[in-house]
Formats: sequence, C-alpha cells, structure tokens
Amino acid sequence: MSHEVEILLVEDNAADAEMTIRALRKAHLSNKLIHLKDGVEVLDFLFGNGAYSTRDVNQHPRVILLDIKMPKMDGIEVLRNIRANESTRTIPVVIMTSSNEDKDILASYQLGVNSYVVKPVEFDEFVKAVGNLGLYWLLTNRAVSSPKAP
Amino acid sequence: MSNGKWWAPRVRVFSRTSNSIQWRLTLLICLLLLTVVLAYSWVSYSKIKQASIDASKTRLESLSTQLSNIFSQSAQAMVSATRTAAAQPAIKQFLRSGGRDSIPAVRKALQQLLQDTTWTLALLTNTKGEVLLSSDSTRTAPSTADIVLNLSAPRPDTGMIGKIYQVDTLMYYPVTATVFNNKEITGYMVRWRKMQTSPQAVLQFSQLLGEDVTLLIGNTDGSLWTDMQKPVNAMPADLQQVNKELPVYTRSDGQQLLASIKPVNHTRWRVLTDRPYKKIVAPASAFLQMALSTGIVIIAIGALLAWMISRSITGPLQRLAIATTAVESGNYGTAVSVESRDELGQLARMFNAMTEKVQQSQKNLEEKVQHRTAQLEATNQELEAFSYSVSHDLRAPLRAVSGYAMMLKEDYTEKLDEEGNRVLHMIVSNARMMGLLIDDLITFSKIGRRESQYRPVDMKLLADTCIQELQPLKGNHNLTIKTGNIAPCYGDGNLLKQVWMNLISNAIKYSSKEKNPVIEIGSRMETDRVIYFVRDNGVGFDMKYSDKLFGVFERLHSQDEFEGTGIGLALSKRIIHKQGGEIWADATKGFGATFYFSIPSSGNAPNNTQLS
Repeated sequence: MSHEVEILLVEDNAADAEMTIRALRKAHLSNKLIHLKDGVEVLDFLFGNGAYSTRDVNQHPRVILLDIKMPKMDGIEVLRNIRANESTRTIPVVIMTSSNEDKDILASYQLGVNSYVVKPVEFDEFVKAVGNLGLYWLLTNRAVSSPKAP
Repeated sequence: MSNGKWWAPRVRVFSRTSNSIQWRLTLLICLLLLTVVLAYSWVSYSKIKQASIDASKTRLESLSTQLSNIFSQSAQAMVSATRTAAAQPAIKQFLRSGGRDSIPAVRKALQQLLQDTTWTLALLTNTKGEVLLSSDSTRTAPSTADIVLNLSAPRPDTGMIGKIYQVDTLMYYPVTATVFNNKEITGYMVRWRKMQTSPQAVLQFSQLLGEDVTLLIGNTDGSLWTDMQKPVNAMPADLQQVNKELPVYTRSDGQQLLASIKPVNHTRWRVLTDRPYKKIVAPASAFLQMALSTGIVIIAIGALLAWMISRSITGPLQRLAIATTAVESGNYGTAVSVESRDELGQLARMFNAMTEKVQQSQKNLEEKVQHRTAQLEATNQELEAFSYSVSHDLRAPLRAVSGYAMMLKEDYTEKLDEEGNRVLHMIVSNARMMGLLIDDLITFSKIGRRESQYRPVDMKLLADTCIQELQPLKGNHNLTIKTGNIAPCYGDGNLLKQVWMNLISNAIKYSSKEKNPVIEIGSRMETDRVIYFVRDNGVGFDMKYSDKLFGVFERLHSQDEFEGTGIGLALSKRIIHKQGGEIWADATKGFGATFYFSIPSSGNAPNNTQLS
C-alpha cells in the first residue's frame, strides 16, 4: 500500500525538527515526510481546511510525530481533536517531547496516544530513538487501512 | 416555647431530666418545706398532747380528792351516829352483863336504829366479834369477826366503815362503832347498810365528773369495784395497789385509760376516777391531722412556686446551652434572648458578645487561611511552571547544542584537526552532564510536590530488589553484600526504594576500589522508630565535611575519582524528612562509611503533605 504522506512531523523547534529529519533520513524513512510547525496547521492538513482545502483528506499519514509544546495549539489539544473525529481517530500518534511531566504523560494516554517518547538530550540516543520509532511505526506496525487505499 | 422546635434540642441538651437544675431546685425546696412542716407538726403535737395529759391529770387528781373528801365526810357522819347509838346506857349495860339481861329493850333500841330501808340490820357483838344480839334474828350477815378485827387493830377507840360485800346483785357495807365501859372495850355495834344511789345523786355525780370521766369505788384490798349501782368487772392487777400515781392502765375491754386513785378516810374504800387516753389526746391528734393537711397544701404551693422560679432560671440557661451547642456545630447566628436584668441576663448578653467575637475571629481566620492558601497555591503553580519550563525549555536548546556538535562531528571530522575534535568532544560531554543535572534537579523538585502513599513496606524485599537491580554496577569486583535483619516500616515504598538505591549504589561505588569490598545492610528497633543502615569499607570521608554531605550537588570526591552529580544524598534526605525521619552518616577517611536513616514507627507517621 502506498501513502501520499507516511510521516507527519509536528515540531515548532527548528533544531529538533532538523535532528529528527536527519535521524529518519539515516534510517531511510524520510521520503514521504511532511513537517508542520503548529497545531492549527496540523488540523487544517488533516481536515482539508485553509491552505490544505484541495488535499484529499482521506489520505492519512501512517504516523504522526507530535510535539507537545507549540504555539497557538499544543500537542495535547491536537491529539484531542484527532481522537474526537471519526475519520482521523485511527491514525497512530506518537508524542515526542522534552516533557517528562507525569500530567502530560497521563493526559496523553487518556486521550489514546499510541506512544509517548521523551526526547533524549544526547544526540546519539536521540538519533537511535527516532530511528527505532520510525522503523517500528512504518515497517513493523500494521495500521488500519485507509478507506480509499488504492 | 410551644412549638416542637423548642423541645427537640431541649431533650438533647438535658437528656437526663432528673439531673436538671429545674428538678433539683424544686425537689430541694419541697424537701425543705416538708422538713419544716413535719418538725413543726411533731413538736406542736407533742406539746399539745403533753398539755392535755397534764390537764387531765390535774383534773382527775382534783376530782378524786374531792370525791374522797365527800365520801369521808359522809362516812364520818355515819360512824359518829353509830357511836352515839352505841353509847346508850341500855346497850352499854347489855354488853357489860355479857348479853344476858334486858334483851327485849335492847333489841327495840337496835330496831330503832334501822331508820329507813337502806339500813338492813343492826348487831351487837362481844370483843371477839361473836354476835350477841341481832335486830332481826332471821337475817344472816357476813362474819362480823374479821370486820371487828379490822376495826380494832389500828384504832380501837374509833368507829369505821368496812369493806363492801356483795350479796347476790346487792352490795352492803358495815358501819361499826366500839362500845366502852370505863375505857374498857366491852363489845361492838355493827350496822349494815345497802349501797344504793338515787338517780338524783347519779346525775349530780355525772355533772361533777363531766364527760368521759368514770367514777368507781372499791375496797382497799381490791376485792370489789363498783360504780355505786352494781359491781363492775375485775380491774387490772396493777391497780389493786393504792398510791400508784396516775397510772395509765389497760382495762379488760382493751381500752387505755388515765386514772387517779385516792383512799377514803374512815373507810376501807378508795375512789378511782379515770378517763380514756384516746379522748385525752384527741385534740392533739386532731391538731396533727390539721397541721399535716395544711403542710401538704403549703408544700404543693411551694413546689409550684419553686418550679416556676427554677424555670425562670433554667429557661435562659437552656437557651444558652442550645446556643452553645449551635456555636459548637459552627452556627454562630444563634443569639440568646434573655430580657431579664439579673445575672442571667448579663450572662446571656456576654455570651452574645462572645459569640460575635468568636464569629468575627473565625471569619478573619478563614479569610487569612484562604489568602495564605491562595498564595501557596500560586507559589506552587509558579514552581510547577518553573519545573515544567526547566524540564522542557532548558533541554531543547541543550539537545540542539549536543545535536549540532554531533552533526559537526559526523559531517566534518576529517576537516577538523585533533584539537578541534577534542573541543567538540568536550562540548558533547558537558552537554550530556548538564542534561543529567537538569534531570536530577527535576527529580529533586518533584519529590516535594509528590503526594505520598503511606503503606506498610517490606524493607527487606525492597533492599533485596535494589541489590538485584544494582547488579551491573558491581562489575568484576569481588564484592560481598551482607543483609541482616531488616525490619518492615510504614511509609511510601516508591520513595524509600530511591533511598535504598542511592545508599546501596553509593556503597558499591565508594568501595569499588577496595580489594575485598564488603557492604552490610540492616536495621535495629528503637521505641518509636526503626533505624536502617548501609555500611561499606570503602574510601569513607572526613567527618569535617559531613554537613556538606546532604546538600544539593555537593560532592566530597572529584568527578575523576568517582562519577556522580551529587544529588543522591540530597534526594534521600528530602525523602526521609518528608516521612518524618532522620538521615545521618558516620565515617573515617579511608576506613569506610555508614549511612543511617530512621523511619517513625507506624502511628508516628506524618500526614500526607504536598509541600515539604
């Protein structure tokens, strides 16, 4: 099966985004990656609003890597919206964040996140973590098929 | 007061009504009145009774004396008449001759002495009492011998009236006189008379005696008692003796009587007047009855008044008690309305003022508490925000520093010389160290905010688990870990595990350079706490610096000697203090160290606190 977008990276920090993309590229998983910088943009992308009004909303990414702390709308709110909508409910969402706060972890799992990953400070470990994540969600995990998958 | 609301709390406040002041005051007043009434009645009754008895005594005494005198006079008259008759020359002559001559003339003289029908017989006897001549030879009379002997014994020169004799239903008594011839007794004259009292005399007597008083005449030897019309039944034995002063006796019919007895002069008789005891004390009994019934009325009125007065006292007290109960349960709106201007009114006004003040103070206190709580909450939120931003915002740039340094290393290693690569390495390792410090700082701040879960903790199991998890640290060392008895305690297992982890890993770390490292773990009980210890034979430390041991990021060894951030013991101290315990250490530089911590015995455990 082929997806228009395989990884949707939501990250406002340019450095983190660059490192994530570099790590995924090293694992050869960055071909179909889209990087968005805030929560509102993510929802526009998923539900075909605003700049993404011409996008086929039935084409779901295979995994969303979601930062928590973002301007306008934070990751927890984005997750809530994704899980509240019938069409996007089944998309795997992985929270990737610097926050090791119990309340963030609890809120995420209560909203049905698929994974919660604390970004390691060390670059080596960061690269390893992102690589493993990408491999797992894109190659190992079997997701729900998109409604109009060719 | 008439509605149900008033009664409901009253029952609650004075559940045992018998103990209430209202009851006790009433009871006290009733008892006082009762005592007064009883004492007054009894004393008065006794006095009245005594006075009645005294009056009766006097009256009976005077009556019997009077009657005795009357009878004496009458007796004397009869005796002197008989003596006059006995002194006739014919009679004297007859007795001097021994009764042989002039019989018809003497008999005639004797028959003349029978003046009316009450005089039944006249006799002349010799000195021995033998009858020489009778006025009527056909009639018999009781033996005259003992009459004469009775007469002659005490006073031979006088005459006397003898005992009363009963013949069938009639009673007779003898009137005796001595007959002399030149002072020599030649014989006796005896005249028998029937005891007969005219209705007129009876009436006179009864008028003299008055109601209830009975008059009796009897022989001095007690052989006969009569009411002067007929003999009366036997009197009690103790009355047979004369001179018994006013005895109270029980008559054969069971009636108690007060009596007075007097002898009658010139006779062998005595007079008795008596009066029923019941009749004498009747006025006193009547008074007692009246006094007691009046007393009951007084007590009833007193009780009613006492009840009303005590209610006027306890009513306000009850209202105060209800208001106090209300205040106790937090309702300050209950003002007590007592209008009276006495002490109770004052108490109520003071109570109201006090309630108002307490209410005001409580309000102020609550406001203060709310204010402080709000401040604390704000501070707490700031701390949380701070911790959050440290955890998130500080790590992101650090990761970037580390990340870009690594990218530089990966992509440009060949273009950099040795020094350039060394500098890059320093950047990466310091960034990593800073990451560790940040993580430790976050952990440290989280301990304070965390809500502890206090439960019984198996410390032995916890220590064993830690030893198991710390196995990788042991490396290739010839390490021996001895665990002795480790008592359980009451606390937060997750936090205590961190303490064990810190202390055991420290022990392993600082004894790692010994040849034969030995670690001992154990506990000992004290009265109100358990003390746990972890002992090693490692490098130890100088006790001079022991106060720095538990500070945040304080270290006694360089990073080159032993790795570490210096947060472990500070964290342990915070955890142990949070559970109400103490932590301390004992060491000698070069000869190992022992770390102790205490946990209070269950019951002394602190309340869950969010801020420490």
